[in-house]
Amino acid sequence: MYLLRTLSIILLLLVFLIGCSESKTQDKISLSEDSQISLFSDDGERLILDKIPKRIIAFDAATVEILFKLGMGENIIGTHGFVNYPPEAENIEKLGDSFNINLEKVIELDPDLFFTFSINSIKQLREANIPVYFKKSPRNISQILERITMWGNITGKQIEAQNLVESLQSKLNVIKSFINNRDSDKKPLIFHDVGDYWTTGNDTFVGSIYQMLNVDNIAFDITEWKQISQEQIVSRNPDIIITTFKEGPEKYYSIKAFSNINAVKNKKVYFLDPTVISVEGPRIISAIETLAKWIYDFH
Amino acid sequence: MFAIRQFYKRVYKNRYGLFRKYPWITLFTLLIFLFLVIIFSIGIGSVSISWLDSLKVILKNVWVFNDVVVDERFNKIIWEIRLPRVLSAALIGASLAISGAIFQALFRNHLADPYLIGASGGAALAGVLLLTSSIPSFIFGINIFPLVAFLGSFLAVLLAFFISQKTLTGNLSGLLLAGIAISAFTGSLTSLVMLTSEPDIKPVFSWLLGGLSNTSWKAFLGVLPFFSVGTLLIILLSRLLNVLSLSTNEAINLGVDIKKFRIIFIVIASFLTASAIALSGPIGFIGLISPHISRMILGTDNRIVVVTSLLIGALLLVSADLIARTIINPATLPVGIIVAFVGVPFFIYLLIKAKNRNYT
Repeated sequence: MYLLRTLSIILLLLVFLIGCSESKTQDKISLSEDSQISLFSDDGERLILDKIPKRIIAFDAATVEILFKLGMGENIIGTHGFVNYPPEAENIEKLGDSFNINLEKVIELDPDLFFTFSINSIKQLREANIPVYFKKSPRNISQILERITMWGNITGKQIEAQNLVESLQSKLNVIKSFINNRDSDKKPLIFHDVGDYWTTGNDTFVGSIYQMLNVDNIAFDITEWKQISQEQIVSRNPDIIITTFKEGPEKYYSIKAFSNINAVKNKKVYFLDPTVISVEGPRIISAIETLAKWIYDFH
Repeated sequence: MFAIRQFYKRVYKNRYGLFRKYPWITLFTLLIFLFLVIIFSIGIGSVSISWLDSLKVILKNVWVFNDVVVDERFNKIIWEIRLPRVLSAALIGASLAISGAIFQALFRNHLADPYLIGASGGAALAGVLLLTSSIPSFIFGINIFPLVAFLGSFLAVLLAFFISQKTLTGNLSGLLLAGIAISAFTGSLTSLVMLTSEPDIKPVFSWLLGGLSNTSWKAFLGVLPFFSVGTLLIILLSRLLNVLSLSTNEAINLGVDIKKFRIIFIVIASFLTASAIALSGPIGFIGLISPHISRMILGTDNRIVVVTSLLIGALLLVSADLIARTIINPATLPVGIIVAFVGVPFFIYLLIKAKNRNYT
């Protein structure tokens, strides 16, 4: 009898422990019974919210886009100076940039939640008793979807978040199945140029998009962002060149050194709006669709 | 101990004596050395191409051997990318060095460099404005970027000159102060534009550190006339540079129209600097150290300093660019970083070695 009791207690404890550790790994958000939300920042700090935040400062362009999509746009009371989408975001008060936060204004606005993607000045904000939640930017598409779910949980818009995630997921699946059902097995070779031959390897957010699109990157052996040698562009001969500056196509078509590159010969140099591909929000799906159209003739 | 020191003193003195006595030998040696480094640089790059293939490409393009068979990719890499880049590096290094030599002589100040009177600040501001604006830098297939950088550079110098004419502090120190003021002013504006523009400022930033990624035959040949005429004039007038670097009274006593020649020299040096910046962005340090190295080797006669700095500047920049475009292959670095990284220790070494010799 005694043994049985001890065993059952141990078993209960185990279940409890597993339960705890699971809830910790799940997005690091747990909703306890009295609707408290506890959030774990990427630097390990814990933030407890007693109620659903209604006055949010979002120092992150992607978060602003997500919150608008979830119908929480009205609740954003401040953001940083580079946020320009959606158009309604123009009216949100701009509080500097992540290196130069207008702390006085932040304190005056008295937010329920201050979200930022940058570790700069979070210490300063915490010292001023601002409820800071810091999460690094997503590094790939699935992290964006997780981020949307996370905001759904924080703002109590779980259903809207789920719908958004599902619609994005289904659009992605359409593109993926289109790519997988192509006749050709050949992987197109791409080059992504943000200006003056600065490009990315596979280990960045933009790199992850190209990997998802199942293309080869001529800068596969570069890490993060670097300026690639023009000689390598000629030698590695990309099939498609994506530039994120307006005169990109004209530049490639007019430089003599590049005239024999496949992308130039086949008129496959494109301009992609840099704000669409650099913001890790829901709008990324339109960038992916555009890229799929250019690369695979997706329709 | 004493004997050894005496011996070294004698040997070094003799060696320097030889170089100073027969500057032509040094000039000729430098010229051959520069030629070799250029050849060497053409053979080495991000994509490895054998020397034989490189030679074939060059023969095919300049000689009557049109029927030489070469890989078209090699042809593009060597002839359209590497060769104009190496030659541009030589030209930019030479331009900056020679303007540095002029400014150092004119201002009688060994801290002077080609950017002293605002040339770099003006070009940087104009370049950054164009890069961050919605105006395309390619119009009808023509790269207007070098032109804009050139204009920015020239306008800034012109402004400094105009301000100096209105000052009471006398021409030279007035010009110096005006140049410094304009550099500071354009510098802060440049930072402001970069801070408030869309986040992707890597290309802009790397251009500000000096980059040769936009060199082409077109750009090189566009700048070559400025360079040739400017350099020729300076070499012809270099005798006057010696007079101008004396005190004002002495120069007047020698019957030289100081004001006129000062303006001529400043205009030429500014043109050289502006065209160099147009090709590559502001590359620092070359214009400062080349004349110094030249004086350390051959003494202070400006007729010689001008020519040797020109060769040394070209040599330094071609070598630095060779490192910049190969060291983190397949990526490249802004050449300005390499110039400072390699140039500064070398310069300090020379400074320490020359401490007893009062080279100035």
